[in-house]
Amino acid sequence: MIGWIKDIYQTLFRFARFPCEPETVAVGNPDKSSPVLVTCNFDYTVRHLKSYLQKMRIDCFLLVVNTQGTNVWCAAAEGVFTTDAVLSHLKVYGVGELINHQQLILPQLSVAGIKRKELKEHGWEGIYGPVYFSDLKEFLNNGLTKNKDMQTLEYGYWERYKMGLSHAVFCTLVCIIPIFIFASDGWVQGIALVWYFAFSMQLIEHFIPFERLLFKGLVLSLPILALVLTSITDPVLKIQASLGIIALGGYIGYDAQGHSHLGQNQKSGAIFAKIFASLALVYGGTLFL
Amino acid sequence: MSFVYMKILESRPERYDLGMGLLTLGSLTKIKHEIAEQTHPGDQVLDLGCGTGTLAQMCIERGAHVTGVDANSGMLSVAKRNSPTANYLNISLSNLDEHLADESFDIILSTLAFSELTRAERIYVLKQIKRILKNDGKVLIGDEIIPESFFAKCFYYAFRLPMRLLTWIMTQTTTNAIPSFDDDVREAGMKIVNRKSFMLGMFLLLEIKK
Repeated sequence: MIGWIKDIYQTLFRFARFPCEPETVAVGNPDKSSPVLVTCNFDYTVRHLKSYLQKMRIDCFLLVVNTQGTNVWCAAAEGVFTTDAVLSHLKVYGVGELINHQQLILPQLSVAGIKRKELKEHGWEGIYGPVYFSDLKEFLNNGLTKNKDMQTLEYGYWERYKMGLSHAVFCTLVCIIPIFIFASDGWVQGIALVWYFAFSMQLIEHFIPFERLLFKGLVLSLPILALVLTSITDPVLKIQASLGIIALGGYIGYDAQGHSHLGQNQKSGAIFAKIFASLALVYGGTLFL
Repeated sequence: MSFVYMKILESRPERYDLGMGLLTLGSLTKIKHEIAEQTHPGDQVLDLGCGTGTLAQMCIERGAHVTGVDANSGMLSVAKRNSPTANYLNISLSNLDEHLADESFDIILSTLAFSELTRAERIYVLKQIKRILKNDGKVLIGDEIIPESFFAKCFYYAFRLPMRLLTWIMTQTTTNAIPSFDDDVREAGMKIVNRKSFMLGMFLLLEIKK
């Protein structure tokens, strides 16, 4: 399939897994002293990494390790991209026979899963490479050393936009049935709200002065609430619409933790559950009005 | 990835048996019973990809000594509750060489584990099995395959794909049918001595010997 079509659907449905075949592949014309690069088997990453290596004429061996189609960072955090997975790959594909050194260049973002000490116990030297593979050429030319830029993770607006897109698609799939059940007359507005929250949580969340993304989501619901409260006249409908907006804002804000590395360590599950239980209770009360 | 979805994923092992039962329409349970019936008191049994330990417990109830291997620590936590007397190794199947001695097991079992491996991994693991298995021992593998006959293949694609989607929604896992398991067994230097089909040939129980 054409690469850019794959790029689009793999960005839109990034929450799903897109595995490619694990393999050990020779890029260019590597010899026994060539570098060995390690990556995940997320198809998007592998296609772009191979393309970069070929374009830059980097002769190397690329180890595409089985991470069940998950990207490097998520797979390392989930415990799928681990030292054990790398060691298994080295054994199954006989990597040691291809080279005359024991160095493996690992993605820096795999640090949560791959431990250099454990690799060393098995006779391999793990070296964490740059955060972005676009710095690989310079990293290799500099004798496997990194400057500060190569170690810095950026979360620019283009990345935020892509994550917002993926999160919006996911939240639409999750929310579409509840929207049709609770707001069948306003389903277009409901889906528009989902997209507003999903994109806002990525693009402007850093301007909202709360640490917890759940609270940021609730803050983002305020302008919509103001709009609804001034435009709807039926008091029961006014309450129900407000509850729906708060619920959406709270859910998408909370869920954004998995779509943004800015809030990876937040655990506000108890507050999230209390807010949703309260909203459901009040909504139940409105049914008697 | 969605944070809420990640939380759902974390509870996956608890829902694994339910999802797999649905995916196989009960065939997996039948396969496990047939496998367990072939174990005897005192047998040294190795359960590769033991998952939640249900098969290990069936074998233990028949008097076998079971060692379960699984790379997923969450699955092993559930297995230790379901079958507390089995021994467990939290390693991937490709690392058997570092932990298990030559000719140390009478029976080596596996259900729906090989379909999670790539072909290179399957052959590597089968070679390890050959090393670990006693000379008069046997291997019992129950797994999903792509049927050979045209009609079974049509049924497979029409029926299995929606079932796989439903199972994935429930358990965030599924199986990948093995296209040519006979070739893999041959390449590992072993032979299939018996085979039994389930669900129109979509699942297979193989008895393999050295």
